[in-house]
Amino acid sequence: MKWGIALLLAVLLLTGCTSSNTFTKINKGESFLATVNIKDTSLTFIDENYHAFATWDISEPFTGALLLADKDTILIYGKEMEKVQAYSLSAGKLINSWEVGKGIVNMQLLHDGKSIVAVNQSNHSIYFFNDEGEEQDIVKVGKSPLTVLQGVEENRLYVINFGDTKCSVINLETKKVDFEFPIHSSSTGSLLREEKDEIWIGGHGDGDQVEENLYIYSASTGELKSKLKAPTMPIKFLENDDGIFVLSHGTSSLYKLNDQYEEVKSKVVGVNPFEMANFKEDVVVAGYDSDEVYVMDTETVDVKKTIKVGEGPFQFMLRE
Amino acid sequence: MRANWKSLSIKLWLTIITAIILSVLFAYSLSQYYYKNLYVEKLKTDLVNEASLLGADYSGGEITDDFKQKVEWFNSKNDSEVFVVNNPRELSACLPFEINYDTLISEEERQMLLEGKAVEKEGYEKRFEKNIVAAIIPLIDDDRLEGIIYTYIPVDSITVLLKEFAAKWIAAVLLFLIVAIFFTTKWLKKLISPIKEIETAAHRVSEGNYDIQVQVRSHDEIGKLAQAFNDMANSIHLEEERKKEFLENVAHELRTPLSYVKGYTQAILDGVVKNDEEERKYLQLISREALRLQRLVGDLMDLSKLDSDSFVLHRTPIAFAQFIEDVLVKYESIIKEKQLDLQLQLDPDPIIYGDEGRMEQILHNIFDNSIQYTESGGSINITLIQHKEDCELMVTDTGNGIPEADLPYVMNRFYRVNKARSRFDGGSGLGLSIVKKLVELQNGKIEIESKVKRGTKVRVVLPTIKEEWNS
Repeated sequence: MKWGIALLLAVLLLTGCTSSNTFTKINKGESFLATVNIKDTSLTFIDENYHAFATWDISEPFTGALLLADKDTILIYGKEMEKVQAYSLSAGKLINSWEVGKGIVNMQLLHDGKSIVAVNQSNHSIYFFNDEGEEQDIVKVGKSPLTVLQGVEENRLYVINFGDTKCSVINLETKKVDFEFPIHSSSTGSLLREEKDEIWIGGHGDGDQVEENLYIYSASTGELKSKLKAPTMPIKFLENDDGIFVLSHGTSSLYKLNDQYEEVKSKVVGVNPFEMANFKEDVVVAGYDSDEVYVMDTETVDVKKTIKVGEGPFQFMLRE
Repeated sequence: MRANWKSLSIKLWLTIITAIILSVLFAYSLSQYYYKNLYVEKLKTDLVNEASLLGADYSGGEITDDFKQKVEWFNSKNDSEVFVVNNPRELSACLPFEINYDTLISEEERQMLLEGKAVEKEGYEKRFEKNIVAAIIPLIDDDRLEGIIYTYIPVDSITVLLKEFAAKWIAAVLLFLIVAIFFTTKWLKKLISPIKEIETAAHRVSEGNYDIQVQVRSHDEIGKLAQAFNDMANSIHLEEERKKEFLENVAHELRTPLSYVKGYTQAILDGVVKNDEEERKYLQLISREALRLQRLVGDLMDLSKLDSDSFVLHRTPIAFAQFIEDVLVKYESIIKEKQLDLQLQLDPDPIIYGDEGRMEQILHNIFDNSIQYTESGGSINITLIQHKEDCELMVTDTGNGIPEADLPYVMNRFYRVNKARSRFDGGSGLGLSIVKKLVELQNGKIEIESKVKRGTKVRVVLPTIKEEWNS
């Protein structure tokens, strides 16, 4: 009898210890919108009804998260992290970690659903991994690459170098830089419209100069086609059936443009917003300094709902 | 002041001056610290207030040129630098992107400002390339940090102010130091001079000049030292006198019996003696004087022993009444011979703790004196009374008595009441002083009362011991 009690206590103790490292489990079928909060290094999960239903408080200096093709594994990365960590949403715990070294600032899943692109700022390179975390290729690009965009038609990867004044275009077949074209400095945020041969690139500006414009380059040649005024500091673009949305964090403005690139609506939204995404029928915006997510009506660009999230929402991660 | 580094005055002077300098330095650094801190704190508060007042004019929305101009106008009329910043890049709005740009405010400061708090800064600011004290207040519209009002004062101006302050301080301190050194030196001289006087006086005493006296000017330790020195000099002086007198007395006392011995011996040798009877008379005189010499030398040795620490008493419990009676047995014949009336009232209780031999010496001396100085037909009364913790022996006679003037000195060495008749009294003049010493050594005391022609009363009080000793 005594042995039984001791065993029971031991089991309780052990499970107690292990459970401290697990997070709220996220059911496999459930759609969600998650924010990566970099000030308090947490993930806030929001359901389809815009209720925050789970918070993962991860004690790692991570700045981004990527959902893999299995719709259950997420990768957590950050410039100061030695490893990329893989968590299972349904299990709510760490399942794997990839030894990639410091410097990862961005990760993207390519359209094949298997290849993963990691942007490494410490050696100014693009790393290609398979979904097991095995390194496939490394391609050297310009200084401090940040944003990557996959061009499906041409099977290309556009790499926008934040600390450089060029965009590197990688051939995904050969894993070689096809060509580079000059762009403005401190550029970030992009939108690829292959059917129009356009790549839209935003930015913060240079020195104390605040960027007022977004730039439209030719996706095939890199030639600057046009500039659009979008004050100030446009850093995120989005296109859906209702139009093109431009988010400028300097003035916390959201602009809605029509096909002719004319501004149809504009709205001040959030406080210092960096991130915007399509979720269901809506456009959602994250206010970095207000720690809130704003659900916008795509037609009127009005805020339909505000959701409080963790501190410093910097990136969205969606599962639909 | 003599430049003798070992002298007390120099040491005291150095100590006091060092203490003054140290306290001045300490006070200076403390004042600098507080001045700077209080001043800087006040400055920060003022800057925050100033910026807040300007910020109160901001009514939300984008920061207008009009508002900026107003602040610029204020800046032109004001000591501190004031400006408005609404460039998001300066306000660290792009910080997660690690832009290669030194922003005006840091991420932490931005966070504070976003919370509506004012930021206070102190230190080197790279942007202005100088040390500053600054205050930043946020201009917030609907949680958005639209801009800030930045106001600062270069700390260099404070340093200049502190330097000015320091110059005045140093001048005041120098003046203070000069005054302090002047008064300290004067005061120390005054303080030390009695010590020097004592030193000189001590030298003179060591040279044998005992009647010197130091002037006592104060009632402090030095005054007391001077007084003690004077007392000491007096004591030495007195002791010297006594020693001299004592030696004179000893020489005198020895000379008389010696001259007798010498004279009679010479007479016998010279054949001046006529017959055997006369020769026998001379020899008796020689023997008597030799006995006197022997007693004198014995008494002197006793006194010398009593004065030294080596004197040892062999104390035992003594039934005092019985002891007195035993001693008196030896006097029976002489009392009878002199037809004296001896009255005894002895309480049998007192038991004293004393040296039997020495007690006998004391009693002999007292009884000898009583019997010797009481005329035939007189009476001697001996009483012993037990008190609570001591007993009292009183020997009263109806003798000649002692003149009042001599009474205080009868127990002094070689003191004689009747100087002329001394030689044939048989005493050495040391008896009573030995008695006094012996009584005191046994924790008792002795007093003599006397009236001329009426008689003398000797009181000896000695501590008794408890009954247990009996059993």
